[in-house]
Amino acid sequence: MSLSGLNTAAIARALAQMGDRPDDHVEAFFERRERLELAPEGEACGMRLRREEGLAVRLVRERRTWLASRDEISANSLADALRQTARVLPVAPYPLPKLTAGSWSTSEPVAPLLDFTPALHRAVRRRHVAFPLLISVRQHQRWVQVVGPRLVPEAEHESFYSIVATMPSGRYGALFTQLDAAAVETVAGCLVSRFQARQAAQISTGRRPVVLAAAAAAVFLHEAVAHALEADVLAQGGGRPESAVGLRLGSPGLHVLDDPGAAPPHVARRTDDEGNQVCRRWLLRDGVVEQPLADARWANLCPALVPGAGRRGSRHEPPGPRSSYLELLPGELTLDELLSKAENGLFIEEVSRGHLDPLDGTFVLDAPYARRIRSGAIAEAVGRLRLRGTVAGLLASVRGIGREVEVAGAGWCAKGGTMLPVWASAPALRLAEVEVRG
Amino acid sequence: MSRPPASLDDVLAELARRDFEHGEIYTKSGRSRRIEIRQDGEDVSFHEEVGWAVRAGDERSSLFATASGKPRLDFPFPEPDGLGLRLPDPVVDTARWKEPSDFDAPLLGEREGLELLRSIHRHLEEELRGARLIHARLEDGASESHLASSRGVRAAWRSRVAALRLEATWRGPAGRGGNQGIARATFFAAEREARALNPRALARRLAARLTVAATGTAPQQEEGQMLLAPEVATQIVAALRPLFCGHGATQRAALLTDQQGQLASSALSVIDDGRLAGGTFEAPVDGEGMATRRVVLMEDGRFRQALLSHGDLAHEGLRGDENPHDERGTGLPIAVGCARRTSWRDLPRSGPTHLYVKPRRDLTVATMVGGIEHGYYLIELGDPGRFDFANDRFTLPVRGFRVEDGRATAPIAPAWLGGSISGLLHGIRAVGRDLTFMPLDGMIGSPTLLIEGLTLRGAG
Repeated sequence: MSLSGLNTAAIARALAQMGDRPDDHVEAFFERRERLELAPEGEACGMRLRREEGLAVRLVRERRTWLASRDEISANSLADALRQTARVLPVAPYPLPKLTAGSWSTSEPVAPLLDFTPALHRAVRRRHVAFPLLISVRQHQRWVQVVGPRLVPEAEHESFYSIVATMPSGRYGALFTQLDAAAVETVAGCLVSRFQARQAAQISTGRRPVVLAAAAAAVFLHEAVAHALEADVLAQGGGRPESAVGLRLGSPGLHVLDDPGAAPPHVARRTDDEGNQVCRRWLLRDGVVEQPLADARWANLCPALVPGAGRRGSRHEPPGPRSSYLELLPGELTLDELLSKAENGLFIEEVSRGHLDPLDGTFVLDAPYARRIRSGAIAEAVGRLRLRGTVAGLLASVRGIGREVEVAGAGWCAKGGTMLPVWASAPALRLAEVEVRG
Repeated sequence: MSRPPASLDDVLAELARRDFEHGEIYTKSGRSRRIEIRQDGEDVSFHEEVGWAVRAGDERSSLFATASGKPRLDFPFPEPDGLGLRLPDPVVDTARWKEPSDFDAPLLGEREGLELLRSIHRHLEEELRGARLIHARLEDGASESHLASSRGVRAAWRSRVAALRLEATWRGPAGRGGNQGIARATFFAAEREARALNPRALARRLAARLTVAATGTAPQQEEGQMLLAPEVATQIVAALRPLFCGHGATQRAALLTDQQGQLASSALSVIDDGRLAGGTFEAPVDGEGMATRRVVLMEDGRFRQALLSHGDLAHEGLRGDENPHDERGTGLPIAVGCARRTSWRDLPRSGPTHLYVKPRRDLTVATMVGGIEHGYYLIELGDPGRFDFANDRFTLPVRGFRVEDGRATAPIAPAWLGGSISGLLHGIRAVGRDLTFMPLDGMIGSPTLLIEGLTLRGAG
């Protein structure tokens, strides 16, 4: 196991010297990353391997943070980082801990990467369509070890795959924990749907009912609930994040949780990137805000908040509150029942991106295409569209929740320029009349 | 137990031992200090980054391997795959270049950096009562790169960049109409040295943006003369990159060229210069170790050549060393040093370094504003907008002022500037002298532009 060779006890002793005030938060963060990529056909350097490792030391004191990071795991680099982060020189410094991160484990077999692209081309052809398609497949692995002055959680390991498909009408991206036949069919289905909808008519701007399929509902909730309830985002409005607790944000019956421990195998976490235990966090219970997402710093500033949602883009970035695995609890309606109450509405299978303005709560969700709902059935496609409204308005417009939960809607979250993988499971959702722009 | 770090020559020898006809090793080490002020506190961080990258292969296939730390020979290089690799041969660089002295300036200290950001905050409050700097982030960094290839290319270069991002809000004056809610403005700047950033000037720009955003009203669909400030014009130049850079640029430009051979109005000349004196990314070589230089891409509205790296030429089946200089007038595409590496983690990709519209030395902005009878002075962009080259259309979210008889009469926001891309290029009537660079895709520069034939409409 990578990072298993670290002398965590010696590191903890060194860190204990830095936190010379009772409320100081001090930690050392060690990480290793590997990315193996099979580039699109027609490009040079078809197989690309990236390996990196390093460490960061952080001191949080009241409202100030000091962080030092290095691209190397060694006693000297840790000592340098400790010296740059510490505010006072220790009276009697401990000797430098010996740091041996251990050898890299052998790379996973590349067969899943090599097999995916031909399988995807076959799956597209089976649907009797053909279009130019460039596919990049990547395997991502990450090992994390956090060391605090008192607690040393177990090392964490994440492993997953990302796909980027480029076609004339645009790019499609998705994350999977396994590159199996189901992943191939999911990607092929999305690409073919996009291709077939490429010349679909634009809809006119107006208010109409919308049914979001599981993947689209997951992205909707990630943007509208998870981002809206991150402590740093809540603070941007000028108020205290804990003041959101108890507010009604969504319709009754809307239960949204973040539970990194329940995520699919290979990406589930026991602790976050600050070494705090993750928890099953009810973001919305019956539409009411219960526990916003917080990292250690925000939990320290606002005692009503619970840490355990601190995530880092890399050792060079400080952690921030982010969701990992979002769950929307199921309702009781079948998809047919959801569609039957959305006459003349739209069925949105996938969403390309969403954006929340934390200052005014404005929210937009872009979809590459959608399908009309006629007589309770899914009908012809319409072209690119945008859902627009306020977070509170859109969440209050939830009128029905499906009963079939799917693990769907995984993707890269790019808040503040920091790319993080996010995962979700959700059923379909019906929204009452919402503003849709063609 | 891993073996000790290897030198560049050791790595090349190892690649040769593995029978790679072409091999290249690139190393980069850098350090940066990042200072950040948010509403909830202040962050100070110091980063040291070290990494290397290898490209290797032959005519049939190739690989890319990269890692943090120093290069090691026991790295498990992946099996070559994909297309083959042909690395550029060395070219004698006859042009003189002297490394700027500010490359040796020390990084901004913690107190110095915090004081710079706090000073911007203070000046903003002075300029616009009630305005708040909700986020300021300054990163000051320096790096050294080394490159060696089996073709004989050897290069070493340094760089020095300070990047600043500011975000501010203002609730606006009560009872003056305009947009409801809180106005927000963001601003990016980059200099070679952070000490060149002027807090008062930055605060003034933020204040102007906030004022327009808070008090502006949406226009009806209107036409007239559009005066684009450098902040807006640079985004347009960046969006036009597909016409100037990389594989297929010549073909894309040809589609928009008129029967007289003009791609744009004769007022427009576009240049890329990797050695621009004082430029943020000024360097003697690019990410493949090839010499950089000044390249005229468009002259008086006529397309001259695309910005192509050696890799682009190889993609088009041409060899870069067959026609290394355009002075011969062969008409063939030429390769220049324009392969950029975003970091040691990334493959070199062709792209502009300092891409800019050539300014006209004698035309001030005041003269340009004064010459407008009915039109708009657009000073800020909402986001990069949409440029659809296939359908020759573009739309840009903008903010600015209505101008009547040479005077700004009312703020405009939010609004969309739109029209055809060819109309935009051919509609340029005048170019100012206030060349300003913005950190976009490389450093992109433009002076104020006066354009006719475009449409401005309210957001919707």
